Amino acid sequence: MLVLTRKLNETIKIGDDIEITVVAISGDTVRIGIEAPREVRVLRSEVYGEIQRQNREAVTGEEFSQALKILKDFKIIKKENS
Amino acid sequence: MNNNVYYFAQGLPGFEDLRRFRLVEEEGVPFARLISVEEERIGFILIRPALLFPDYGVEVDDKSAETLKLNPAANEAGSANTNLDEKQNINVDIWAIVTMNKEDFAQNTVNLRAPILLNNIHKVGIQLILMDEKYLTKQPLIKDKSFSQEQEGAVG
Repeated sequence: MLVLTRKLNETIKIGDDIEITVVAISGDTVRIGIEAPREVRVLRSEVYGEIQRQNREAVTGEEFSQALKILKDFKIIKKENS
Repeated sequence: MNNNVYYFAQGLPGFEDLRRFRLVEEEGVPFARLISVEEERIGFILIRPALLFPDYGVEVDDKSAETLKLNPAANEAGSANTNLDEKQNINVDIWAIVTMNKEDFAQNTVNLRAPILLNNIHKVGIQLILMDEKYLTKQPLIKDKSFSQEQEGAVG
């Protein structure tokens, strides 16, 4: 891994299109600004884990029909004309 | 019926081994079930997010568009990403996974951060993690406070 030291407001360029800026430093928190082309996906690394956990929590098995009935009973869906 | 089976090349986060899911739409409501073909006890409840969140927008990056087999010719020239507007991309259905809270139904949430996109022509799907952090993995399904009162009546 390449390791660089940067100060506040200093930047790092990756290739021609990506620029990373240290925007703010506060205690152990660093705010980072990222400029990248729109086709480059930028995600906090833990987001994938967050989605994994959410999917595991959302899984329903045999209680499916029950769950659906509840959703219908509570009229969670607005009528289209309202 | 085979024609409602979608192939997820990457599986779903947390269920990476499962590749084939059957979509079972519910009559009269914008809900559906997404059930694993390989592991039938594993399934999800899906909702059409556009009905609850009219401004909900999904931007598909190039790589995901490829996985979804979106026709590049349909994209505007010069635009790197595909703005997935259901009117423009009638082949792609946008769903979101509902998380049921069994103790308190007012706490049911919907995952707007990672919608399920289904290409109903090519029968492929992905769960796309959106970059936009304004979309929550636990967006409350109901904002209306009267819901919990209504719930007690309905349950009792």
